[in-house]
Amino acid sequence: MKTRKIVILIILIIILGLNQTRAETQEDSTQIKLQELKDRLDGINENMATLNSDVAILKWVKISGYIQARYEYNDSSQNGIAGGNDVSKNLNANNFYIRRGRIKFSVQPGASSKYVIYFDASKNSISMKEAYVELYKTIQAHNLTLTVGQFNWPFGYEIEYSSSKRDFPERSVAENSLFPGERDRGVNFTWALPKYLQFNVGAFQGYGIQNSNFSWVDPTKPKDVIARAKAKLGMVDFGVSGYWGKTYIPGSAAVSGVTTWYDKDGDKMIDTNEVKTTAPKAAVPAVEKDKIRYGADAQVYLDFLPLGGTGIRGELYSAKDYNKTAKDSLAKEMGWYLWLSQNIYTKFGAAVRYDYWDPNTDSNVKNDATGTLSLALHYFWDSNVRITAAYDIPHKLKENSIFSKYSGDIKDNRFTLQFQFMF
Amino acid sequence: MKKLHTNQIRLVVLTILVLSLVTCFPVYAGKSITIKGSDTMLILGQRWAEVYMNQNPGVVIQVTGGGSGVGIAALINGGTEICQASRPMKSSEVDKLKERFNSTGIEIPVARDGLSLYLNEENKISELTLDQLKGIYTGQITNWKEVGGDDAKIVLYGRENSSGTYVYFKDNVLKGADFSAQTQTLPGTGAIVNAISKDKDGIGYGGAAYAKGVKYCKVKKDAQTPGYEPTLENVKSGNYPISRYLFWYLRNKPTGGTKKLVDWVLSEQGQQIVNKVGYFPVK
Repeated sequence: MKTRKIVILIILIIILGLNQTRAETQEDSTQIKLQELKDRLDGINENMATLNSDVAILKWVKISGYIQARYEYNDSSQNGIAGGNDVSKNLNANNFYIRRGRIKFSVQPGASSKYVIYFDASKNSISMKEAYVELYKTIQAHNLTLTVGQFNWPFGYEIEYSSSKRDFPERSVAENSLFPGERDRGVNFTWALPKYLQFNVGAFQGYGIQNSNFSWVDPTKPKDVIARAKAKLGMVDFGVSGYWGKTYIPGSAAVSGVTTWYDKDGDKMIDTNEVKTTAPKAAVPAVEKDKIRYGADAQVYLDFLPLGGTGIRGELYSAKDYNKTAKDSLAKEMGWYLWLSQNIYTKFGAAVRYDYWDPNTDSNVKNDATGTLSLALHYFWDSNVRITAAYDIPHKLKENSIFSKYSGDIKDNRFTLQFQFMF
Repeated sequence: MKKLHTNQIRLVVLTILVLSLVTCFPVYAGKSITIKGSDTMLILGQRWAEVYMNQNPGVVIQVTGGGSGVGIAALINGGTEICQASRPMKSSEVDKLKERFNSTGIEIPVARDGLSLYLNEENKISELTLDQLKGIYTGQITNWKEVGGDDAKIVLYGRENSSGTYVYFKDNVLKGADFSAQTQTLPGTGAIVNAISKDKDGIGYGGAAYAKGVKYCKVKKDAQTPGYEPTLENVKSGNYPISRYLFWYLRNKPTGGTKKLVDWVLSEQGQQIVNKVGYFPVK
């Protein structure tokens, strides 16, 4: 009996021992599995950290752009080309084309600097519109920005106003005449006060990105200077701008008179009508002339119609430039526009603009001013697409009038239908 | 022939104008109102919408987050009627609104918020000055012992840069300086609070509405002044140094159903909901 009890006890101890061993084994196994899971989690965390770092770099990069696909119909269009052979002068202005195909890359790793490069693919060419570096500094809520490279001239309202937002297909005639291409190479310093005011001052090459004579070099040592002051008072914004620079007009070398003859009738005699003499030309010296522009602009935003916001914008340009007709003096130029824009709820918009430009205000130079009435309607298809129908009615103006049509004005009204995608 | 073409074009323009006017009206006949923007204000916006829709059957209000920057962008591109923002609109954003909608926007303060600093309950630290906070978040102060705490590395939590809370903190606490590269960005104040509750060395910032499971860090204007928590009294009195307004932005003066909603949000009942959610009323 006693022996049996001892045997049972031993068996129980063995069973308990085995269970203990099994439990320990299971515990060890669980520990190993936990460790494995922890290792895996650590691995995922490390991968996540790397991924976050990579994604953070992607966040530095911002890509934006827009395309304007357009059809234009012009009253002055004719079939063919000038003289039937000059392919550079197409008489037909009714075309489908890409007016602007823009893409901009900005890289901003932090709040202190930014890189921008901006391309345009339009009509049949690709060009670089902008490339610049911006440095930022904030001192007691005053924001300071230094921009170096190729970018917009900091003059007036129209230049900085994106073509993707403008109601009309093109900027005013005055702006296109005085600031072709809207951009130049230089440096610009911006000082934005905590409220209301902003000042700009910059130095530029002066010839812009569209000049074919001086595509990137400046023939004059001093740089052109631009200054602008802008006030934002909520409903009313206004600004004044000044541009002081030089225009260099290349001269030409002297040309000797040349006498040539050709015995047309083959009588071995040089007759008078077989001799040709070209007159000698004196050397034309290069000249350097002042290039001065002043501008004033104002914008008013009203919220009194239930349809939506109303914007009234106006700008005045006054300039002095090399006078092609009287080379010893400077031509005074004058231009302005008045632009009314109305939103019609969120899906539609309408606008009207009158745009005046006189390339020479001298009272002796008559019938050279133009006045263009432009109308535009927009339909916002979605948040990216705007469809615009615009109609421009340009007139050559009588003498020094600002509205009366000159009798020699030609029919050259233009209708534009434009589809724009912006992102 | 030329005359005919011109007339055709005029006809096309006129047709577009008429169609435009005819088709745009039904868009505004509906009672659906969209609200988008600040994640900080998301719960507040949802509460307002729930109560208002219960009281006004037939009105549909859709409230979504994404951050103040996202909401303002939606307001500018026509994607929302009302934008919730925990920061004022930037000058550059107002410029975009002017370009697209000929409007400077309508700013309506709808609540006040004390921007709260959160610490883990086990953290010895209970108060910090604005300068210390700036030092911590710009990476100049990296160990709790530098501000009187344990010898432990400070773990920074913050919001993504599309968040108004991020912008407000950067402008008002960091004074425009960059956040430390070590700051871990999380997609909402709730996520920040959750992370800090599990991380005894963590510090984070966000709206008062989410302060659960962690403790507030009192904030001092400078070393000489006492520290304050973001309570109603301290925010109202101006003692709490980092309080802000929470805004609704609209493109134009509200009319119709939108005006009724705005008026209700600013009414006693609407402002009671502000209190219930954990913010402070503007009236």
